Amino acid sequence: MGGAEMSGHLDLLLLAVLGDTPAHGYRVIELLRERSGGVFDLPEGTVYPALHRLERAGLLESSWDESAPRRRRVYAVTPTGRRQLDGRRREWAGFARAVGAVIAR
Amino acid sequence: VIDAYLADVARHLRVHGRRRRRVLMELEAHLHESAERVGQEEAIRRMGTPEEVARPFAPRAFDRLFEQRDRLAALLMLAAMAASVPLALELHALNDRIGRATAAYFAFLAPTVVVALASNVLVLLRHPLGERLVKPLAVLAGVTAVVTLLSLPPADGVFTGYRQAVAAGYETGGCSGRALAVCAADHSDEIRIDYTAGAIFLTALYAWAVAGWTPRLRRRDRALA
Repeated sequence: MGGAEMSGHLDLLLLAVLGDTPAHGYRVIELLRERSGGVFDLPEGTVYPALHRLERAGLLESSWDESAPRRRRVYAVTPTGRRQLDGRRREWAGFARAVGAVIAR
Repeated sequence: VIDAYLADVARHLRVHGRRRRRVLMELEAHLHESAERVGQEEAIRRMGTPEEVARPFAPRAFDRLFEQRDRLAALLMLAAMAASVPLALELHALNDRIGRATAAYFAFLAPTVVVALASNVLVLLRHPLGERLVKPLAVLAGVTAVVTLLSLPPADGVFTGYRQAVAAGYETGGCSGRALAVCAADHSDEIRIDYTAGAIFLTALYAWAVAGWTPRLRRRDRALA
């Protein structure tokens, strides 16, 4: 599944991945791929604008990790981001239940 | 190959200064990490074309403004507090003319002002404590509003003093053609109600902008399509 199919869900997915553990962009993409069983294989360049946008919205915070061989930016969910994540998780669960109820035979 | 690709991204990138350097550094780190596992060509293929990578970083004016809403609200609150200083000085001066002390009321207002100032400055600096001070600020502002609106002590003394001073002719601005006592009561009510309503509105706006409802980012989600 690429960028177009994931449009509208990317923010939630990024918050969910980073809600479990702070990570840098490359690792975020790996986690998305691993946790979706390879289904979410989006163009990697789309992740960074989304991470920056979420940071500017106050949902993520970031800092340079100097301990790695190559300097990289590590992102973590802020308290505001965690509230947003919780709210969107509830919305998604309700939406998934409703869709399931409609399409179930 | 990676350097040439990054130069191409930089050519299309519509952000400047520190943010531009950060974007390019992140992309460079990503590409090198990816290249170590899948090779440079594949790493670049997975990243997308330079135009596709650079385009979403160009911020929309409204989005940028909206994302700064906490700082804008903090600035608005600071401006409103600064604008109300002349009124506070006038209230004090008029009460002073008739020998009535205002210290108790201003001491009552002080915690709200101090917490508001601290929160505003910390929010401007994007320090997390600024957000944590919003709830105490809302409580303090609410108590202050109720006391002022209902003319409970210590607010009642200051407004009674104001009315007496205006009725005694120490301040007659905007009273032409009206009995001073009536004018004094009207002005006192206007100040009490208008400023309290303004403070409540501003505090609610600030709480929303800094700590409250977070947008669902639908507009920005669409931008990812």
